[in-house]
Amino acid sequence: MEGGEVDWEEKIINNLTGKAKCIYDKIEQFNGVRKALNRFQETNSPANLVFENASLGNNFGNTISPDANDLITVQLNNDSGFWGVDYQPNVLVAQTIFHEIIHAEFFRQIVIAIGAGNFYGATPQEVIDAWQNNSYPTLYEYYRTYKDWSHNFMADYYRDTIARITEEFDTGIAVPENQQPQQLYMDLAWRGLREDGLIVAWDQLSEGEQQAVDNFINSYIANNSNQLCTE
Amino acid sequence: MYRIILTLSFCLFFNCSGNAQGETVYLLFEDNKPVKCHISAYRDGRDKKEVIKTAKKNIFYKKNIIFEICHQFFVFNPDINTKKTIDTKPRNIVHIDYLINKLEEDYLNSKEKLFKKIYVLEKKSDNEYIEYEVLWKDMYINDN
Repeated sequence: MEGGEVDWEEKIINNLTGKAKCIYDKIEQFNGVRKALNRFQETNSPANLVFENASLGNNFGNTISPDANDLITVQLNNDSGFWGVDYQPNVLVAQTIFHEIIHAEFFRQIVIAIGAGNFYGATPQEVIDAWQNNSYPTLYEYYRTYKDWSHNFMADYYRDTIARITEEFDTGIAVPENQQPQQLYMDLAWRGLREDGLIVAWDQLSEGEQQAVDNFINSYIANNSNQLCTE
Repeated sequence: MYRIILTLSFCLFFNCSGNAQGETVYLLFEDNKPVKCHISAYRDGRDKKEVIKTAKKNIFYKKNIIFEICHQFFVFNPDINTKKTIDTKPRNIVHIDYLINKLEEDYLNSKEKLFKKIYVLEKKSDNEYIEYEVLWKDMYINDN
């Protein structure tokens, strides 16, 4: 593969460079991330995954839904300034990478449920028809019910996992399964999930709770910007 | 009988079903301006909330323009979509709520297929707009 680092049988193509690649290389060894990535590497997984840097304007990251070949693309913003990887704290870059991997994992589950090549260009009705009575019933319910099914599912079921990965990245110590991640990582896990009116779990927080999360994330960014990542 | 046939013919021709697929609509856009709209987390539009969201314009890959209005994404790709400057407002300008309502009425359809054409009108001055032909897309971006 040109210029990219390829994991096992070209299921995951890593075209990240610079700080994004440095942080990806660190978190990909964590158990929770490894498990998610290994699912793509299974030879019977029909979905492939690409990581790349891209100019994304005022966005931290982006996951592009499966194309006609079930290729899912995760992009991290390499613009200079606030939204770019270089400006953002290392912990939040790690959190963003994991957030996007979870989006990719949801798409992978859908591709398995509805069959290779069937997602691209399909209407929601066609996806639902192909999916019913198949695997992943909870994700199916979210897809059927919510406009932003992916972020709602993530907010309800994966915030704890995101917080565990970011805490492990920050402290170097895996959070034992019988323990909760520290509150600061639970707060940081809200990043990317704070959309009024569309994310039900976020709307269920009180205004004071939302404000506290917003303030914490904003001050965390301000106090930890422009960090370098060293191998 | 004649009246029934006439009505049926009229409906076939003018699309009485309420389906907007033949419709061309225009959306006004001003970057960083707050837009009041009514949104629901649910595909079928239940439990709507009035919210105020800031309209945003983003450039992806240094060429594609993403217009975000009330968390709906309209993509202008200069390789395939047209763009021109106009000096009079078209008649069929609609509010973003109109598109959201149409989507909720037909929520198992793709948003890309709901309208014949969608144009975003970016205001440049009181009587100058840039008209972008756009596609209404689902996007999985991380911006908050």
